[in-house]
Amino acid sequence: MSGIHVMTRGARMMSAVLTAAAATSIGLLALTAPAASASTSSQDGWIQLAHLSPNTPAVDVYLYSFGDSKAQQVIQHVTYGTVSAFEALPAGDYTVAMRAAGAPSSSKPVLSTAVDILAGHAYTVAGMGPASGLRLQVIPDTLTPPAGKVLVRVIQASLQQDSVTVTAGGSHLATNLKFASVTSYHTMNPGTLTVRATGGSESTSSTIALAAGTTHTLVVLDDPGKLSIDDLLDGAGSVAATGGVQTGLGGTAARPGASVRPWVAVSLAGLAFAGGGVVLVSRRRRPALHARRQVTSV
Amino acid sequence: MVSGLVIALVAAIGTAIYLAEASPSVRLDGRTQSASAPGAVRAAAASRKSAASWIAAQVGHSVIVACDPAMCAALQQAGFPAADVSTIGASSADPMGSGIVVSTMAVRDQLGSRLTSVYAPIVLASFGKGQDLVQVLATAPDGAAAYRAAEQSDVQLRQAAGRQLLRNHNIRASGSAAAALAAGQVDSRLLITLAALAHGYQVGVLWFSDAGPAASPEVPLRAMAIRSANSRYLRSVLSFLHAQQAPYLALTYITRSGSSTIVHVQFTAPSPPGLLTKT
Repeated sequence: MSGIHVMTRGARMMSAVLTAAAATSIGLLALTAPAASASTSSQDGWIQLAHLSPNTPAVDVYLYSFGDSKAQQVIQHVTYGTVSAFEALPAGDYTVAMRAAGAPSSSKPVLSTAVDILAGHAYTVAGMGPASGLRLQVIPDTLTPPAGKVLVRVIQASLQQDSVTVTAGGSHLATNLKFASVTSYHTMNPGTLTVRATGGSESTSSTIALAAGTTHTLVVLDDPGKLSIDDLLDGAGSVAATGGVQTGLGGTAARPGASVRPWVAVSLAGLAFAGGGVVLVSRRRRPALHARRQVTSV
Repeated sequence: MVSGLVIALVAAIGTAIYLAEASPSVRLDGRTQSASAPGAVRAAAASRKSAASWIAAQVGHSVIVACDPAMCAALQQAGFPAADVSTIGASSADPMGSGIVVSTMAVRDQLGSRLTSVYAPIVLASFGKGQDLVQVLATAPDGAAAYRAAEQSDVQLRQAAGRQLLRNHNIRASGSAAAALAAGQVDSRLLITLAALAHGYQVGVLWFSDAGPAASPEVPLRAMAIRSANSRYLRSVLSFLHAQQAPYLALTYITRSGSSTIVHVQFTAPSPPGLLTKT
């Protein structure tokens, strides 16, 4: 049984600090270790799991392969705002089941959905909606933006604000986007933009760097008493910052769409962030479990 | 004296019942059709009763069923919730908004050929024949063409999933069950449930069934029978099945065949499409 283990908040805070501190060395490693992608095969797809239901307690999420009774993936203790790193899985159909966090694996799971993983494709399976109507939604991820461009989409996961409007620079990414819904990708030019999320009674803004060739998912979340925006870096050689996923080379293992070139870019980014990154990341309410980028509140 | 009154009362009730059953059939626009023979009326009533019993037992009680007044009354008599019944009247333009429409002569008169060519192309079950024919039809919210396209896609996804399950070492399928899995005939809810069950247990699938009498060939099989190895296995499997929530909560019951115990798992109609959506 392989497992995806999500860290506790305290461990995440520590890990975020360590990650930022280690960014330089990881980047340097990447320059000489492009073979990180050797752990996946051309028959694999990728999946990440997210908990985006504000009033739902933590759960353990299980994936059961249709074709292999021994194959089981587990993501443990998934709390609101948690997004796992991508996990490579053999292509095929999977049943997704949930148990209360910490419940024994032999206890009765509740089936939630099925997901068909295609080779070379990536998916986010997200717990969406209120606790009373919790559903696991399969969201296909696009990992290859047009050359020189950036793909950005928005997931509205704030229950406090029924709908939000999200802008990035002068562009509208989402207008009155309802709770538990997701936009399609917008193609944008690279750059550093101010992203603003505005609900009925609250708003927040963040500065986000969009590098060419990357794919971002901006998640609007409830932070106690206010909104927050998490920037998930989905594809094109992004770095799995933390998360403890068994990916062979820890955080440096291949992600969907990974190639040598982006790893070089990441190494340079690691150098750039090595100094200030510690402070920026450790301020975050939900430090990186996924390839979250440092977001600075303004 | 008293016995005479009783006889008179019984005779009066009998006459009333006979007159009610033998009365001319009434169209939804209020006009009467030619009087039917008592035998034909009884046959129509029998078809209605069979259809009502089948719907009450097989159709999910959250599904809205559209029907003519007589059929709706029969449905409620069979125990189908009144709140989930929608009467098709003379002014009803179509049965859209319901999940099921019961095709009786009155409804066919009202909606014409559009009933099956546009609104509800799939036969889930059929009772009687000729003028007495009562068909339980699944409505197509986006029209018949879209429904058939979605159904075709669903069959392919069920085939792919079924063939993967046949490779699962914890699943032992009989010849007929294996053929149904490979052909994509098995309801998605059963496939998804089987995958989870097979993670923890050896599952011996004896057969798949329950497409409904005279159902369209593309209607998925919503029931399966699995062999129970022992009482501990039985308790464990039933516990798993009973823990599920909609749309994966199935009706379960147990039968014995010689020394074997068989667990029957059955989902309600209609089969929801899209549970195995290709992403």
